[in-house]
Amino acid sequence: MSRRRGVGLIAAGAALMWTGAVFAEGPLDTPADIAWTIVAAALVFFMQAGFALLEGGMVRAKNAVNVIMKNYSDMCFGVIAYWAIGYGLMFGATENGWFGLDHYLPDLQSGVEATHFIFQLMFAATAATIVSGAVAERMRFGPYVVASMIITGVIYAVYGAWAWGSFYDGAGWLVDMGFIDFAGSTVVHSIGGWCALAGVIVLGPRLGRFAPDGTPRDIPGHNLPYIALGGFILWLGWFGFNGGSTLSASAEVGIICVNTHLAGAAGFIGALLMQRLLRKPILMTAAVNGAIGGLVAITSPCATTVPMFALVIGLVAGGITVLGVMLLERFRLDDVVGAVSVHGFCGAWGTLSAALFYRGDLFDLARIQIQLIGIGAAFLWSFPTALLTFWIVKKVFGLRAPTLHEQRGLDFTEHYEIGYPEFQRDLTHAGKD
Amino acid sequence: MADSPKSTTPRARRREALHQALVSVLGPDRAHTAIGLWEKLAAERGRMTVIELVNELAGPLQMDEGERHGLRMALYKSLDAAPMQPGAAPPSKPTMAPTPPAFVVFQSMGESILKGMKLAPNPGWYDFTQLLTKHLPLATSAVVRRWAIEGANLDALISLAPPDYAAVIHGLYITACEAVGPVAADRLLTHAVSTAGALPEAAQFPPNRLL
Repeated sequence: MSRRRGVGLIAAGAALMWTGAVFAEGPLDTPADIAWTIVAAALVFFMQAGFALLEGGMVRAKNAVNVIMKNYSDMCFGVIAYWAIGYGLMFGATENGWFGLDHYLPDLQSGVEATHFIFQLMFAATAATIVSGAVAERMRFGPYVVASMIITGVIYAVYGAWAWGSFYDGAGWLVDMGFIDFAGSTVVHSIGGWCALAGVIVLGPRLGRFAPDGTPRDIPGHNLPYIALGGFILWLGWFGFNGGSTLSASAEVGIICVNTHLAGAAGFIGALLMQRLLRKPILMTAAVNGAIGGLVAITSPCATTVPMFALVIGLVAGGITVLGVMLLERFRLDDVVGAVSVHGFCGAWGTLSAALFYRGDLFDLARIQIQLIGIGAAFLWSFPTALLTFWIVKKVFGLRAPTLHEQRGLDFTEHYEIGYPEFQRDLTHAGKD
Repeated sequence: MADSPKSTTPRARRREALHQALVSVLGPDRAHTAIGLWEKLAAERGRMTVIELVNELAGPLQMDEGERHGLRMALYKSLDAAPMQPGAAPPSKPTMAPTPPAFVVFQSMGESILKGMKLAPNPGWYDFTQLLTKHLPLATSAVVRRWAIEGANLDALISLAPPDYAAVIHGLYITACEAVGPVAADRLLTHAVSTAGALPEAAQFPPNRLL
C-alpha cells in the first residue's frame, strides 16, 4: 500500500515492531481487515447508546429526553459536519502538519477509504457526545447542536490532524515527533473532556447545585440501572474502539482487548478504593465512572503496554475519576456526569502512561516529554477554542435555558415531550410559554 | 420601654417596633444594649436595612446564626405591622368575598412550599426574603415580601393578578433551590402540586397552570 496511513497505523506499527509481528499485507488490505473494521465501527456506534443511557440516567427525569436528543444530534448533525469539513481537516493530505488540505465533502469511491471514513466518523461523534452529559439539565438544545457541529467538524478534527493525520499524504506534527495515542485517549477523550470543561464554565452550575457557601449538593440521577447498563454498553463498544484501531484483523487485536478489559476492571476497583480511602460512601455511579475512566486511560497505551501495566493504568484512572469530580466541585463547576474527570483527566493520564509503561522501554524520558507536549497541545488548542465557541454561541443564540425551563425540565420546554408521561403528566405545565 | 400608643413620630414608632422585636428575641437586657447600638448607628449612618442592622448587632451581642435569622424575621414583622405615617390605620382585613379559585390554588401551593422550606434543616442560614424578591419583578416583590415575612397571611397577595402567581411560585422554587437544594425543591414543588390538586378549586384552576 503506497499511501501513508493515518489513524492508529503509526502507533500500531510501533506496537507491532516489539512483538515481531507484521501485517501480512497491511491494514485495510484484506477482506478480513475491512470486515473487522466495519464491525468495530458498529461497536463504536453502539457506544452512543451507552452514552445515551448513562447520561440519561444521570439526569433528573424531567431532562432525560433532552440529553438523549443531544446524543442523537451528535451522531446526526455532528457527523455531517465531520463529513463536510472534519474528515478533510483531519485526514486530508497535509504539507504543514497542522491540518489537511483536501478530501472535504469526500466522495469515498474506494471501499478502503469508505471503511476508514466510517470508522473515524464514529470516533468523531464520540468526542462530541462527551460534552452533552457535562452540560446537561441547563443548556438549550439548538445552541448545543451548533456547538456540537463546531466541536466535531473543527476542534476535534484539527487536533486529530496533528496526532493522527494524514491518511493520504504528509503527517501531523505530533506524529512526526513520535506522539503515541493509539486509539485516542487524548484525540477523542481529552479533547471531548476539555470541550466539556469549557461548556461547564460558560454555562454555570444548575440552580442550587452549590449552596451559597459553596458546599456542593448532590443531584442524583433518576435511573441508576440505566447508568449501569450504559456503562456496560460503553465497555462493550470499547473493544471496537481500541481493537478496531488496528484497522487490521490481526492477532494484535487480542492483546489490545485484554488490556482494555483489564484496565476497565481495574478502573472500577480504583474508584472503589479511592472512595473507601476518602471515607466516602461507595457509590455505583462513581464506580461505573471509574470503569469508564480506566477504559479511557487504556485507549492510548492499549497496543503498547502489557496486561500488568494495563491494570495499574486502570487502577490509577479509577482513583482520578473520584478525585477529579471533587476538584471540579471545589471550583463550583457543575459537570453533571463527571465527563471532565472521566474523559479529560483520565485521557491525559492514559496518554502519559503510554510513555511511562511502554513495553520493553519503561519511563523513557524523551517519550514522556513528547507525550506531555501532546497532552498540553490538546488542552491549549481545544479548551480556548471551545471556550470561544461556547461564548460566541451564547452571545448569538443564548446558551442557557431560563430558570423557568430548569424548573419545568428541558424535556418539555425544549422538545414538548416528557420521558415518563404516566408519572409526570400532573407536573407538566399547561402550555409551553 | 413599654408599648406606648402616644408615640407619634415615625422615628418613635420605628424605635418602638424595633424594641418589641429585640425584646422578643434577645430579652430585655440585650435588647437595651441593642437599642443603644441602633441609635448610635442610626445617628452615624441614617437609614439602615434590617440585614445591615442585624449584621452590626451580631458581633457585640454574640448572636449565633439561628438568633440572627430569628431577629431578622421579628424585625420584619414588627416594622411591617407598625404604621409609619401619622394617623395611619393598620391594614384592614379585606372584606369577605368569594376567593377566586386561582388564588386558592396558588395559596395552597405557596403555603406548601413555604412550610416545606421552614421544615428544612438549618433554616437560619439564608435570608429568605432577600432570596425570594431577588427573583421577582420589582412591582411584585414588595407585595411578595410582606407575604413571605408574614408567612401565614397569604391574603396580602390577593391583589396580584393571576399571571403573577406563576412568577411567585417560580420565585419560591428558585429560592427553595438555593436554600434547601434542587432535589428538595423539586420534591416540595411536587408535593405542592399534589396538595393543591386535591382542592375542589383545582377542577376550575388546575395547579399545573402555575408551573
